[in-house]
Amino acid sequence: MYGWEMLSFNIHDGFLEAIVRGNRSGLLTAADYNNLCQCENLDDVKMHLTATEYGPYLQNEPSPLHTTTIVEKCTLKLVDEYKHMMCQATEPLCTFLQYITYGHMIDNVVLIVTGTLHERDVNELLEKCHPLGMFDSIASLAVAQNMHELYRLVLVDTPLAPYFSECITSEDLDDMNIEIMRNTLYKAYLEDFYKFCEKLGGATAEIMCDLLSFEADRRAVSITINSIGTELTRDDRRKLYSNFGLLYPYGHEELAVCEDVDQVRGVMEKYPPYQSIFAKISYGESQMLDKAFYEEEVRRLCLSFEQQFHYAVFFAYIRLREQEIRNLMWISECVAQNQKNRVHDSVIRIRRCGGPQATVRGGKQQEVAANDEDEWPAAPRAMVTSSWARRWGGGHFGHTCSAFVKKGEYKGQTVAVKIIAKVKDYLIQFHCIRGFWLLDK
Amino acid sequence: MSGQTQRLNVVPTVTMLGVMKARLIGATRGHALLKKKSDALTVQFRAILKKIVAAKESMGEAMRASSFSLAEAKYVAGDGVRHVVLQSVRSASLRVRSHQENVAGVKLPKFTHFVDPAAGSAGPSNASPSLTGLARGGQQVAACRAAHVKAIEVLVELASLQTSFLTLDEAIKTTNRRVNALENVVKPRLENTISYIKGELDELEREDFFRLKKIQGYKKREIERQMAAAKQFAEEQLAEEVALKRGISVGAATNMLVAGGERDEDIIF
Repeated sequence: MYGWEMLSFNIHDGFLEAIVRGNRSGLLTAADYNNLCQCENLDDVKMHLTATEYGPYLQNEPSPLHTTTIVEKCTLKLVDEYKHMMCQATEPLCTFLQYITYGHMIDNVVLIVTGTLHERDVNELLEKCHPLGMFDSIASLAVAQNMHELYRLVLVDTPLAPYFSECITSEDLDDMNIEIMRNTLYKAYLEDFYKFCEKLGGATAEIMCDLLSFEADRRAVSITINSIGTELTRDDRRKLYSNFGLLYPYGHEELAVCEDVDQVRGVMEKYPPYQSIFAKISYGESQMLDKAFYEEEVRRLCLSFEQQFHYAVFFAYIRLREQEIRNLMWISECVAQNQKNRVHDSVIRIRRCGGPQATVRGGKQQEVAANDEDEWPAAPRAMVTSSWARRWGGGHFGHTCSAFVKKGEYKGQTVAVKIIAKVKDYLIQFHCIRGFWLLDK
Repeated sequence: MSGQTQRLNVVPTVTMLGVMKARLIGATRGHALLKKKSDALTVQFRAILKKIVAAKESMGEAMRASSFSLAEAKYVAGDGVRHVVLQSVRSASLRVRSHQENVAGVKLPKFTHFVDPAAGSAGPSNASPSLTGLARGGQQVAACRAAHVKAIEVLVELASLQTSFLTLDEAIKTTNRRVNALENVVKPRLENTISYIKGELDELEREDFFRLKKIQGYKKREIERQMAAAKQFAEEQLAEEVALKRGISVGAATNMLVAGGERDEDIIF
């Protein structure tokens, strides 16, 4: 089917792809993030968010706002969008969309089972479940006393049933087993999803298999690092790795015997796509690994939008929204806890479109290269000594001017400069669209 | 002040004076001892105060770090991780043990925390919680737990210090009250009593002396009188002898007349 999607794709899925791409332009922009990062309290955050797509969900919230409320409302928006897409979807997109939620479903099942083991109230547990992972009979999970009952009474009717067949053997449900059960289920789910995407074929298979492989590899690395020093044996560890992905099978063999983080690094550096991730992390440090993986994931998810006529955009969109909600949570936590210097640590900005973010009206637009804000500090510095001709355009955040470079690498060229005036210290920050930046008093 | 004029209601005797003096010595010694205790407690109090200030400062830091690490864990492992952790809680493994410490006779409650190995979920040896967030964010969860354990340590220390602080405060207040009571009430009262007794005793002595003087004077006068009487008698005797020699006593003649006049009513003159 590969290559022929454009003939028939739009018959069923064109509308939804348009919707998802439209939704995607509702993701927060770099300017939004900049504004959010400068907030003083949660009400400011809310005020900025009401100007975005999240507005209708947050505007009626009473004023003592909590981070959890923000996250809850933003998740609600994601769920609404998902439901909207789900209603419009036809097969096989419908199944594809359902597959996306199985991860949350597994989490919910595990949560309820854990809660039941410790005799918690079911209704209380249901409130804590992720709304994307809800299914009809979820409340009846609590009646089950052991795995067999759980499977026979409840799960056999859910899409998760095939995944349970693998871990049905473990009779006693203690905490350790539950965490292993969760990961076994997730492994089965990823493999099933992978097979499903392969079956769909075409660009969907190509992109989704890549994304899922990345997810599987990421999980393998995380499981390895997190299980170092625990009771989890090597064989158990091996069983939790998904049977596909770049690391499968030789990488898994090597990961399974790793005893510390540096060994993991040694294994991963043999795989070129992961070299860049591990290059960002200094030796012996593993705290930032999750963030590095998130960044890489976001990059890959963004890239999936570059191709058309495939289903991966839906997956990517949901994941990007989730990342955005995580970003919002992080920003709100930092704002609420007065830790604003840490705000930039974990926010992963999602580039909305491949082209330049600040389009310069008039002037030499075609010369303007893509500006990725994250790359600015690494770009060569140059001296832009004023003498800009005229103001091209202004936004609520700063304004753009043309400028003539008098010194440095780009000497003699006209460039566009984004100027952000900071009121506090009379610092004018020149952000050059060319890709370099400088500070001047 | 009323305290200065007060004294105990005692009988002013020498025995009582002895008793009072003994009590005064006792009170003075007690006062000195209590003063020492109060000083010792104050020293301890200041030390605890210093520690409390330090602990409170570090508590702010620890609490901030712990709540921020929670945010980090939530960021990496997803918002649901808190429910996962919450649902798998069994019994607390960090326990607080309380014991007493004796500082200058004041029993201060002290709290120490310890890890209960039986109650399941702490320490690297026990793997069950470490598996939380196995596929994502396990390290952050572990870091979060470590930060919170640190916060609990500081909290327990602070609680211990605060309780000691309050108890010490109470003890110092009581001791100071006792010291002041001894110094300003009991001792002056005893001193007053002693001086009163002494005064009374002096008074008694003076009275005795006066009485003795008086009696002496009286005795002297009496002796003088007797001597005078004896002298007179002697003179009279002499006179009588002279009269007898004359024939009739002057006195007897008089007597006969007088006696007749009184006794016999039939005699008519």
